[in-house]
Amino acid sequence: MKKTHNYFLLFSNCIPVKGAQRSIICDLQLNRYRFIPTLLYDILQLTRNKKVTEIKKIYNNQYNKGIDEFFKLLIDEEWGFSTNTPEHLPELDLKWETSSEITNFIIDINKDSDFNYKEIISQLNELRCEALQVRSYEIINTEIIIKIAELTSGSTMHNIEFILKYYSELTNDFFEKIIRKNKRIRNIYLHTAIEEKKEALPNNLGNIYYSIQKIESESHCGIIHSGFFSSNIELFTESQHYNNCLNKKLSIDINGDIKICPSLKKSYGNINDTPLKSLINNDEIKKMWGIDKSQIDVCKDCEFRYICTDCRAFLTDENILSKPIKCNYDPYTAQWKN
Amino acid sequence: MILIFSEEFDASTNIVLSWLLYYDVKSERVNRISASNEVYSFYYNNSKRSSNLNFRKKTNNYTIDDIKTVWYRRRPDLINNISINKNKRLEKDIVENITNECYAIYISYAGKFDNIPSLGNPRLENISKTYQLNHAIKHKLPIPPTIITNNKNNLLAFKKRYKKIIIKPIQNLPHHFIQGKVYAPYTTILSKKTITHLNNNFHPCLAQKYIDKDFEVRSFYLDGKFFSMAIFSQSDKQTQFDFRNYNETHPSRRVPYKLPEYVEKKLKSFMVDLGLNSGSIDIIVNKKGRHIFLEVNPCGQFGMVSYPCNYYLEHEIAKYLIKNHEKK
Ligand code: SF4
Ligand code: SF4
Repeated sequence: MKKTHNYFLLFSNCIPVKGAQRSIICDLQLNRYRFIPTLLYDILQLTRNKKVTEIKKIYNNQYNKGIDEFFKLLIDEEWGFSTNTPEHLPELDLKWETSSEITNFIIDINKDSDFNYKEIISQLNELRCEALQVRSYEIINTEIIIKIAELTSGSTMHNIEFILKYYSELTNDFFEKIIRKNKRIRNIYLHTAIEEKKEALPNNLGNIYYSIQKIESESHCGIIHSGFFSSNIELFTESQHYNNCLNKKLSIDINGDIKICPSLKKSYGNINDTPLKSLINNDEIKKMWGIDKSQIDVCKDCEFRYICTDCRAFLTDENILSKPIKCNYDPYTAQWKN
Repeated sequence: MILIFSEEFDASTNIVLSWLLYYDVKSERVNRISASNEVYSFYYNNSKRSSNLNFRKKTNNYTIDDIKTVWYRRRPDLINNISINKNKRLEKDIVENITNECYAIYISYAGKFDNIPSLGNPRLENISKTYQLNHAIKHKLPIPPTIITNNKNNLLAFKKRYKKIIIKPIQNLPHHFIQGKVYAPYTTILSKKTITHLNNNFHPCLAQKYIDKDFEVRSFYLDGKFFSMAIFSQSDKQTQFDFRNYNETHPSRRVPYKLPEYVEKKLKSFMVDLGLNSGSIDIIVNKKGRHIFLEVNPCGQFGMVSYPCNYYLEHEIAKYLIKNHEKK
């Protein structure tokens, strides 16, 4: 700390989150987090309104050395800084807004699925959908892939992802050709492949990820793993208010049944006879979209809750508010199982 | 209807448009003036008896009365890439002529829309730095000592007086794309050694006293409100002078900032006096906490303030634009 400065502040995009056992600081700009003891979490709650000397006094000057060392460490590691004008460095507003009626859509396809893609994409445009994921569990015709790529090229969707069952016609050249025409296609994941590899397409056209894992149905989804944590403003703010997987999501499963996500049981009609638009104000759907982490058992006490995604399809028990079953973390012991 | 002048690839415009759709308000975006496949026609009549403007895009036909608000986001791309003549020199002249002509048309639109509420003003797009600094003085905003000179002795004397000085472009210059690399003009320290290498007279440059900063502030001004961001350059040498030149692996810290009220008050009267209802303002806060005005960019990027500070400025702009609007 600079000698002339009286206050220590975390940068307002470095936000402490308290867990049952320990806490973390989430750096939403640099996409990183660090563990801190809960005592420091409590101290950090005071820094905005109290000078460092006042904070020390609150703890009867017992921790003076520890507090100095911690603040110094946080400054050296660039989580915070010292200042005399904390009132000019307000906290980050954690609101989350979107102008889209739905932000993301999943289409699950099998070899028998027969969808009117033109109609679906035009509905998605009308709802100003931003992201599309196309998944297949059986070999599907390349014509379908080409068609979807063409239909989405002038659309509102600026992030398109394919997760497909590999077969010999799905080559790098094939994808290079379609991505060249539609740069909104970001990532291609091919499962049931012959080998595990990642191939970069030329001219920064993106990556193709080959995986030997066999995916036979939508039940592969919903895995929670620390490698998937992501500390950024979008996820952190959306997680404060909404379900960070399901919010503003709609999908169709392989039969064309409209669901919030293909793995959920409840269907709200078939894409052939139910306009998507008629569902965006459905109370039940809105309720599912709104299940944020503070309502979910166990997760609500977990320090990772705003950087970890959620899953509402594969749960520990019948209760819709129970913890995702595919998560191995226990915030009460701060241990990952196996 | 809200009329928007912008460029084809401006992402901020896309987001504002999406918010306008959210509020169910009609808008038309013009990315290009001059013949193009973005077909629109317009008819402009400025005779004494009738002053008129018709505006047509695709199947929609508007008269000036339909336009409730105009947003001058960016100067539209003036012409398509054209290939007219094998004589490159002649082609360049022709392109330049058409460009100037289109610019005049753009400005005359603005003249025609004078009584329509608007955001931005194409006639003030390029107010010079010196003009801005004079205005800043008038409104009692501290500015760095500044000279423009083409003379070596003047520059040496300025350097002697202020010890550490910087040079920067007098006008906002375009970026250059050379062999796949981007070259952008930026601010840099001027060393004694560099000056001694100069001829006695040279192309005029703008020099300023170097300000030992605590941090920088970028503030987006919108109709009386300030949305500010503090930029803490990290210890990295590279970013110490101009954050645009930052090092990817070591980005500067960008967080919300609230300008002191007395600074906002002066800046507001400065903006009102210039006739700007929006713009991106650059400020340096020195080690003593003094806020020093650098410049305002009337069509500055607000995306780079909006996202890091979670301000949703595109939404704020949309709300401003529809103030004068009833639903379609
Ligand atoms: S709720 Fe679970 S299964 Fe459904 S999309 Fe999200 S993570 Fe996948
Ligand atoms: S307990 Fe909940 S929030 Fe914590 S890691 Fe597991 S799923 Fe994520």
